[in-house]
Amino acid sequence: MPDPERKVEVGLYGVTKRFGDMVAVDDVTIEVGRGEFFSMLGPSGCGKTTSLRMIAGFEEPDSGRVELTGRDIVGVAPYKRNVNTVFQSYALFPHLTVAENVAFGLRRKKVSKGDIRDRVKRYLDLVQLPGYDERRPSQLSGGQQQRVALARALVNEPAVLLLDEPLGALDLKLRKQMQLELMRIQREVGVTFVYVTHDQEEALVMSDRLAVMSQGRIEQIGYPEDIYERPATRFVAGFIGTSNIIEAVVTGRVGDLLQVEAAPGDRLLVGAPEGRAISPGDVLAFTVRPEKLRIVAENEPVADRLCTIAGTVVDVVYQGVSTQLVIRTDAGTTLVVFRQNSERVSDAGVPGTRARIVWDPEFNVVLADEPTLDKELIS
Amino acid sequence: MSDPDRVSLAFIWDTASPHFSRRTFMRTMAFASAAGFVAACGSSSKIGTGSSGSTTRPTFSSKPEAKLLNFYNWTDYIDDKTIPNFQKQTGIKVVYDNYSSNDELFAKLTAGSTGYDIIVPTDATLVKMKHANLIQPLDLSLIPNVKNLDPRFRNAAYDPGNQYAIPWQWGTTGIGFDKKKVGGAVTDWDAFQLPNVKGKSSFLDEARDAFAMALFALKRDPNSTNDTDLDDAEKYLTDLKKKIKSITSDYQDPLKSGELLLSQAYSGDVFTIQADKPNIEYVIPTSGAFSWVDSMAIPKGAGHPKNAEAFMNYILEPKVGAALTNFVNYGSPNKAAQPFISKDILTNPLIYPPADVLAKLPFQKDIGEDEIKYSDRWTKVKTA
Amino acid sequence: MDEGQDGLSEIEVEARPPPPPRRRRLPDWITGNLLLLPTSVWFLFLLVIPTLLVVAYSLGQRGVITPVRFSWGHLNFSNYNLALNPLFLPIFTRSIAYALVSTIACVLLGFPLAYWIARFGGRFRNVYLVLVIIPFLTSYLIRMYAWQFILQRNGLLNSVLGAIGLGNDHTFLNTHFAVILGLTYGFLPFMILPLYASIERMDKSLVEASYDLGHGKTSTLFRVIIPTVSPGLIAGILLVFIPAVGDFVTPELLGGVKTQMFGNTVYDQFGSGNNWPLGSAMSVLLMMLILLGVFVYLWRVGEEAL
Repeated sequence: MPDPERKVEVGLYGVTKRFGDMVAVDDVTIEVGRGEFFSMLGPSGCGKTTSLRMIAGFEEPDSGRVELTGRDIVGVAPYKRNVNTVFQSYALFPHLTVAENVAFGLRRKKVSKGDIRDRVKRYLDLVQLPGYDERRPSQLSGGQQQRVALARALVNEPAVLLLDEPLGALDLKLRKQMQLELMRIQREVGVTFVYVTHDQEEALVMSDRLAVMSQGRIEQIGYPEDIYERPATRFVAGFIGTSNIIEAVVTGRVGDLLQVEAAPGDRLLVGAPEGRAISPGDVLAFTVRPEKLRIVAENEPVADRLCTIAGTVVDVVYQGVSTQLVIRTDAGTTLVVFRQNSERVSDAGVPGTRARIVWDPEFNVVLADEPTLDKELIS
Repeated sequence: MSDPDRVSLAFIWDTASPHFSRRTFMRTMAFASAAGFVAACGSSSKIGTGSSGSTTRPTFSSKPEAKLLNFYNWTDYIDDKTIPNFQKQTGIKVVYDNYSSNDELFAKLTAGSTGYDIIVPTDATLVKMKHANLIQPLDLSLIPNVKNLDPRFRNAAYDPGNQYAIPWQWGTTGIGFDKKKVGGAVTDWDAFQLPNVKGKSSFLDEARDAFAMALFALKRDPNSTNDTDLDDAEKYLTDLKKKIKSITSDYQDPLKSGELLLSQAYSGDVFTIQADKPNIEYVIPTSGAFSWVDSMAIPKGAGHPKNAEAFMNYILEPKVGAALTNFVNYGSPNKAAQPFISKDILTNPLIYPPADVLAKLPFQKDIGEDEIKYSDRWTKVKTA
Repeated sequence: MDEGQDGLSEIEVEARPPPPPRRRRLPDWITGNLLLLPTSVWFLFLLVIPTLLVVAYSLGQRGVITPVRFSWGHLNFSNYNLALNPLFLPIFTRSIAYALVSTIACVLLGFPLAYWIARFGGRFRNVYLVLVIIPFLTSYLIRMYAWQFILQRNGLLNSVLGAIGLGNDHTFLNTHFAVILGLTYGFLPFMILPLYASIERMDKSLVEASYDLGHGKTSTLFRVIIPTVSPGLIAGILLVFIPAVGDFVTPELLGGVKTQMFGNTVYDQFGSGNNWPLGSAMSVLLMMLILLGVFVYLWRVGEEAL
């Protein structure tokens, strides 16, 4: 789902990569637009780093095409590709100073000595490390090394900057700070970023668009809010944030909504998925985010257009901003509800009390994959 | 770890290698150093005897000796029956141990008292040991058979009057060569000039032996201490060095393999090679060569000098001496033994040279401090 | 507040169990130095004292009967004068040249091998390392004899060359080639092991980073890999060069009349050259030269690189 306004800077088309028996990347197609901040998100071993390394040229695909600004670059040596990488380990050259590290790529290009000096200074300023020229990498903190690695890559003004879990080694606070910093730098230099991370929050915060990967395959590509609000698959729903997944048999229609099986007194309505014929008797899996759910007293009247399920509170976890309640429905499903702690909380927060959950059916997202009919909670 | 019971490491090596020569040096270095260490360990309790520097025997020697003799000899250098017969005859138990180079022997003796009662150094080493106070004079009254020695060995330059040593076997330092490949007659030291041997010859890595070769070739005194003679000899060797392959005392294998075609060599070594490769021959150069002689001597501080002297006397018996020579194929210094020595040996001019040749086979002389004249020139030859 | 604190501390004092009987312990500095004792004794007897003896010998007078006469009253510096005699210069130069060529050969042979083992050895890495070390289990002398048998005229190399029609009468033994070959072979593991350790420790992504920044394979080798593994490389160079320059066994066994090295000359002074003070002075000079080289290196490059 590339942005039609943008020209494609990086394209992977049907790319497959195997290591021995293991398929690391399985028929992946991704298009990244020029100037885009694009993330590849997934658990370790999902193929995101291998995909990145195929763009960098450290790995060659077994099949498929890798394109850079419209040119097929399969077989082109890494040092001939107009991309630069920020490595997870930073990979700063320990025997060179900061300035020499940053200038390393420029020495290969026809850049005059004076220009090299100017550009090194400009990019060290950009990453807010002015005056660190003569330091050795070993004399810098992790965050500073990260910035040098960034400057070293960006100073070459590549078409695409590849970042392989660049913040993985930093502590939480520094990581948040560097996230903002990276976004600022990306806006300033306008270079296309392809960013690999396993941190879903980081991906949601920073990316223009992102691809969620699992077991070498793309699960979903989209804008952060698409991914979050409308996860396409059970994996995406589970990997990004917390999700309630409900599986049930379709029983009929109410207006343009499907009605699915529910206990007496409860009501479950789901918008019909596009391009998929659903008839009564089919099993349907859908997901709804915990913060979309509201808790009311069990006997409180509920409007007809809303979904509602009654159950028993089994667990209450106070989390500061919100409180997480786990509720077991009478049908046996476990649902998680986030309640904003915007006001003084009532007795609904005590395990064992009865409660009724209410939500707008428009928040229900039908999952593309076949339901297993295992009623479970993925968090 | 008592000395007499110790099995020499060098000995173990020897049994595995039948062609191992008594003068092979480098190969045994590794073992020699290990053996030296063992020796040093084993001898600590005996340190302190005979270090006075006096040439008279310690007084306690008049005490009766244990029936034991520790004999330290070259490898493959004795008749199988020599020791058993001696033991039978005297009741003295002989502990026999071997070494394979004079340097090894010298190093061991320098390192400390070894417990050996008889050693068999070559003349030049014997002289060194005498100067270094490592050996003690003999009580010739206990060795009446000394009269059996050829007069040539009674007043030899290295030990006049047999004060310190009784000769064991002797030979010459001549030329060993491959008669099929040298491409000419080899009769004298000028054989090094044969076109075929250019770059395929060697001379000994011993200053006196190498200089003697030059001095013989130049018709000078092979024991000369005259600076002009030695300068000329140095020049001779420096020039010769350009035509040879190596300066080495470890020439047996290269000679056997054809790596070397002609070498300055000790007679016995060449006979050993010859047994394997008949086309290797030995010649005593016509202008003369050194005789070498291995002699029995008693280390300072030896525990059983009288037993040693008894053994020396026993070796000097005509039949014993003859049996030894018949077995090892070297020349015997024992004149009285000659009737019992095999005809093959007696008629071999390379072992028993005729009188005119014998006249040109002097011994290496003890030249004392003048040795330095050789040493310094030798360093120059080797570094040239 | 004060009261409360006082009360608290009182309780604490009462509640505190009686102090455990203090075990008598040596001060840390003594314990630490005690650990060093065996090594120190070792160094004293096997390094310091022998070295001092050599220095003392070098200041003594030569003699025939006792090899060295040393007295504090007559320190004899003329041995150094003699050791610096131009007579020895060609041999000295030759030793340096042999050691240099062997060291270079060790780098050229050892680097790719160490790199390959470290990077591509996989789970067999240790096996390969053991294979590198195995020749060490044999005496150096025996290995040099083995080379004699390979290189001699009717040896293995000539037979192989003969079998493939390249002639079987080449002279290998007693040449510069043989000595350099022997030195290279003998000391190669000293190059491989430290290099391996350095390469194995090197972050693989440094190489990728270099490619990524536009540097090809050659440039990456010289600008990234070699500088990064330089501690191992330098350790290897020192470990090969120093013993090689002082070696005398290899030229003795594989060399000939034109391949004498400095070590042989020193060795001869203790044997047929009969000049222990000169031999000692030569050793001291060689030692000082090597130390000087190491110090200059340390001063230029710094300790961390070693």
